[in-house]
Amino acid sequence: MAALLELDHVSYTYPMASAPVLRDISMQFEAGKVYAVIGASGAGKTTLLSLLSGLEVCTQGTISYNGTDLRSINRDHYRARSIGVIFQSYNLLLNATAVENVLLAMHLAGEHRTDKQAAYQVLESVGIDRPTADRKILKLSGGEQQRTGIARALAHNPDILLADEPTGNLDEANEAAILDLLTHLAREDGRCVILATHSHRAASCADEVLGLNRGRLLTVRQRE
Amino acid sequence: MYLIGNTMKNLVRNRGRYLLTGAVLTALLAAVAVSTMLHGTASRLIDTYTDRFGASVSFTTDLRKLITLTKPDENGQFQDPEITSEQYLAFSQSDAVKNTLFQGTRQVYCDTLQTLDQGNEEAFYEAGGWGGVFQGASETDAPQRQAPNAVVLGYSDPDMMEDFIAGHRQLDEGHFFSALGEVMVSRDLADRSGLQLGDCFTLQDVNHAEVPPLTLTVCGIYLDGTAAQADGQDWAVTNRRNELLTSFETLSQHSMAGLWLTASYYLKSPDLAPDFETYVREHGLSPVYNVSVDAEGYNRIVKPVQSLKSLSKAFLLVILLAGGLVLILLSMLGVRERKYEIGVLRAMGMPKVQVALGLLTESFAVLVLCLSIGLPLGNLAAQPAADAILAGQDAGNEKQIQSNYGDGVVLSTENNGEAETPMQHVDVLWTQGSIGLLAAVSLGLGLITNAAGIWYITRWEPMRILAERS
Repeated sequence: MAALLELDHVSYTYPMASAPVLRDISMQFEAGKVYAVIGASGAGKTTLLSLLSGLEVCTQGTISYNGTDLRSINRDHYRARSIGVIFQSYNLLLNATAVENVLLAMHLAGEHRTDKQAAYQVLESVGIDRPTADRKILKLSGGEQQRTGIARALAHNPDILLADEPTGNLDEANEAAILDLLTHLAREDGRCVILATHSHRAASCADEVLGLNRGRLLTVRQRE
Repeated sequence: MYLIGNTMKNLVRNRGRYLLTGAVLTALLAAVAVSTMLHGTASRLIDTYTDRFGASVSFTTDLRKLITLTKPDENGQFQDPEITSEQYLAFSQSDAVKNTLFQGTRQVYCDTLQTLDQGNEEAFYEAGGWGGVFQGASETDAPQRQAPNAVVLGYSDPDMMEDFIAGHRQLDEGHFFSALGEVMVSRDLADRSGLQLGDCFTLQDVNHAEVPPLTLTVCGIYLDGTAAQADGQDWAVTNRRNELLTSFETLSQHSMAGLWLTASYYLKSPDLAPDFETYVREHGLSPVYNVSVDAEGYNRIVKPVQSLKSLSKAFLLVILLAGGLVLILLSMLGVRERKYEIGVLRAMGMPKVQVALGLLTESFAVLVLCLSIGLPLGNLAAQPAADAILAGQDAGNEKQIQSNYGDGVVLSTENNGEAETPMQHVDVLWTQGSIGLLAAVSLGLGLITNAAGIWYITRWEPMRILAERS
């Protein structure tokens, strides 16, 4: 299967830092699979997701989306339409309601179906009912906020889902539900899901587990 | 539509911050409205005043030069050199002159008129007054000279007749002179002489026999409330009821010979005084006279308004600097507080331009709201502010005028009556200039404050914003 995302000798060094946080990474990510990136805190998992989402630009090497270097495309456009990002700290608009967060993602993707009904449907698909959807983010529980973050990432039907510790703040029941949802999105809907996680349970759901150690990315396990 | 809808939502979501910014902005815009209205009104008034009264010129006698350059008469008295009627007319042809007001006077006799106090002068001389010689005539001329029974006055502008403007005289019948040969007479004279509208009479200059007789037609009869004999005489020639009012054109076209003339010159700009002086010297004005712009009158009229303009300008600058600074700080603080939100929007793929546009739209909405409150507030405050400033200026001016008094003999200050009235009240109104200035200031303030905030926030990459937040 052709790679949706491809990293070719990618390195990244933070400004003012002497050593790179990611070193010479080459990797391909395919549609229909769940990838789990594991590693110790500070290993560079979030940085890797930032590069894949176009929030940062690698200092060496190239990252390609469908064969096109991310440097040569509009990264705002790429973030708004091609990928969905689920942040560890949710990063929702706190003064807005859950449904407004989803609507905004639809609007940025240029979706014409930016009516509330469609947004409610997306929220319902991740387990957020209408009364909850109409509440301000600050009034939602951690699990509800995480689900809203996932709904927002799915709102524009992206090819790739990037999730940074998507279950880090959830209890076991919610964690299981979210992981079921993500694996379903990959295997049934044919999306590419990339998780950065400390969770063994999350890693166990992945088709491929990648380990980050001293800036290098290695394949730890592949599902048969 | 999305932008507007989102803007409205954001305004509500961030209402605390926008209320604070809005209060400052409203006060600032009200103050700006006051100062721009005052500035615009003062500019308009200054233009009007300088156009109408800006540069009245006087010829004043320099006593030192008079004593140095001329000789006293047999009585030891120094006489001012004569400025002839021809010179007065020539001076008015200078390119520096915007307009000239002329007044011509003749002492006349009319045998068909029975004027007030007629015969008193002859009786005075027959009784041996002043040695039985008419004033100003030689003994040899005296027997030929007819005592005048009226004075004919010719004005180049009807507005020069101050008694009509002041209400001491009022047209009772007919109309003001307009055509050549038309004359207005007092009701007393008309009744005494049996004059009616349309009647004609012929005048003879009593001092200059060479002047041909002048026939005038009565076009108007006025009520006269002025003092008939102001200087204690009781002669016909000094009785103001006997004044025959006509146009200067009527007198000058008839004959300039012996016409006693006064002229008031108004320059296009006070700066042209040196040009005018050069011109009048070339046309024979004696060096005994100083040519000076009526700075006192000018200051009396224009200075309060100029002060109003200067104060409003200074006020505007202070307001803009202080207020602008406060707004910039508020904007930066506001944007800083919204760093996280902007980081999320950028992370979701909202372009910088759209983020900036959203912030600008919100600010513009606040600006419009503040303008709609600030402008009426400013409108209310402008008039009392102008009156207070003018009241202060008027008091200061009085002191200055007293200290300037007595600078010289003014030969020619025949201003319109209103020109002597100092400015004590202005109607502060919106002018195109002040509206334009306010619009520019509002937009400028909006742009500057937002530009600072937008520049501050959009130079950060989204991950950095989110990382800082964390």
